[in-house]
Amino acid sequence: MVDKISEQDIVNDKEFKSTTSKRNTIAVVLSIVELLLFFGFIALVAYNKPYLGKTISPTSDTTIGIPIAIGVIIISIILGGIYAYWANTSYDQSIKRIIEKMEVE
Amino acid sequence: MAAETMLGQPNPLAITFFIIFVLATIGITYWAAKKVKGTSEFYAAGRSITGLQNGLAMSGDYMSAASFLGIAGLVATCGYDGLLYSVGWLVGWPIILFLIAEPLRNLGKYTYIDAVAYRLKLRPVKLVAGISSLVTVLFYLIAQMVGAGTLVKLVFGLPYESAIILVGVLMIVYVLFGGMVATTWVQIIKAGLLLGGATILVFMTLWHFGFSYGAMFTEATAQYGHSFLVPGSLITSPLDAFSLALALMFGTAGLPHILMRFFTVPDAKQARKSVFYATGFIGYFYILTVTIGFGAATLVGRGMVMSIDKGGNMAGPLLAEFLGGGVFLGFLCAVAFATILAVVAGLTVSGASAISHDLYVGFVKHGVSDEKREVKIAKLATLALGIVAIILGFLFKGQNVAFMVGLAFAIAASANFPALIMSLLWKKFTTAGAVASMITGLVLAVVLIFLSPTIWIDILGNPTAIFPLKNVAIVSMTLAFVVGIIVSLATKEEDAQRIYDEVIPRRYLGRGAE
Repeated sequence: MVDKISEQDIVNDKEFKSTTSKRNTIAVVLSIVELLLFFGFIALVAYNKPYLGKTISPTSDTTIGIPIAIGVIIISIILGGIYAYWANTSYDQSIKRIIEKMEVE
Repeated sequence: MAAETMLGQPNPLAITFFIIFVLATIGITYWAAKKVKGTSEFYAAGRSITGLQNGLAMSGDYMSAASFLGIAGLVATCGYDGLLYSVGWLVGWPIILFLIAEPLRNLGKYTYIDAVAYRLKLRPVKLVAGISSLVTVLFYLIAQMVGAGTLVKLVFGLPYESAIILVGVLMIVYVLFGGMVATTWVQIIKAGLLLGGATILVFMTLWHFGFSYGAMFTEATAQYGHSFLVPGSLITSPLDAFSLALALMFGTAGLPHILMRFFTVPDAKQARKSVFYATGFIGYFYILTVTIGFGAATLVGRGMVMSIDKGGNMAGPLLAEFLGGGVFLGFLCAVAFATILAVVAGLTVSGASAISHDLYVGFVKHGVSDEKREVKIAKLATLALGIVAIILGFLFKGQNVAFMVGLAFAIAASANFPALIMSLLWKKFTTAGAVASMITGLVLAVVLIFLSPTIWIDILGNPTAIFPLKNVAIVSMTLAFVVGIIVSLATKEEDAQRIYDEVIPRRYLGRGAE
């Protein structure tokens, strides 16, 4: 991309500011969700082992703790996937659009 | 059940598989050597790696013997407690993706320390961060070398010392001649082999149980009781649990050899992709490892696993032998050895760059050096690190070094991660704050682990520990943040704040990023 407009113009642009701050908000919110997910699990391990030790059904020996642990892994992968997909498509395109628009003006 | 094992005797199949791997990787190194011309190729593979390739390479760097043999072994011997590690070692990755990946890629050059130092005073930050990066790498390296020596002795019947020298020489060859280009491809091949091998092993395990996890857990309960499927003895106090969780989660985000991989891709988009792929591969792999652990406990038996190795590290190979005989055992052992070799190569590149790029060019030369000279220093550092690794491998022969991976994670979480994230995200962070935070984190992590039950009781044989927790991150990491914040607030740095604003186009758009 040729720098037809100055970097300062981009940085001061209102739409650019709101788009990047939206990205930052999403990143922080997702991080908090991930932290709650993991430390919630650790809190169960630390304070409520009996709950994790319940079996998933009366006829099964599998404890609730196992699907919960595997669930934390799978949800973490999904959260990452959602962010990477959103940032690489929607967010990157918005930024590109903002700069193209400024270049036309 | 499996009363006999071939482990301990030379396995010709394992040796054949291993020789094929070594020949293939040396071929790659020969090809890569022609490409490595300057610093960009040596440190960052010419920034030519795609997101998917880098995701595989990152997972390769991360899936060390500790996670492959260690988690399976922990599950096989302690049951549910092993799962805590597999979960804890995964959850740092999304945090890296959300908060670190993009600014790190856009603001850094070759090492994560570039991204810590970009707006601070170069020399003090490079000196302290370089040392802390090197210390992290060295502890990790010791654990890998000792693991390699023990494994090779068991599988190939080769003496411990020869095994250490073999690993040291091969890693020097990869890195010295092929730089990051060869290291990346060794990592990708190894990740493929490891994921493939573990998948086959899990498939065979589940086949045995009629593809029912429930049947496997029923068998586990029948043999070891209900408590085997509940968190137990590993976690002694809630505080210790949280402390371990902190080190596992944030240590990942402070490992120099992982963070270095961000600079091998061309831009932030590929960096995000790499982390997502890496998270997927690693998560999948950890689920496999847990299955392998429970499989080994039920099919091979805990007693048998522990009779070969007290730590349970041979659970995976023993299960492979039980299900697939000598051929599969040989294959899996070769894969395990390839794993260690690849991780050691990755650690060496990052250790060498800490010496040449951060300590030599950054600190000694004030950030100015010609490229030829820097590559030469990096290669000398590689050679030196290889020799040091061999010597350390000799020195720690027969020692219990499992705690050293924990120590590496504690230092990474306490010294590297707080400084990195504050420099990337907090405008008022200052040079003094960074230096104070890193020294606090590094010194506290090392000293407290020395005083903790892990070393003070288990290794030095004292009756009680001076520091009560087995895991230190809750103190060392928290104080590293607190000290970093207080010192930064007390020492205003106009330049640092100005540059923070100046690099906004680079941070968000990658403009001017290298």
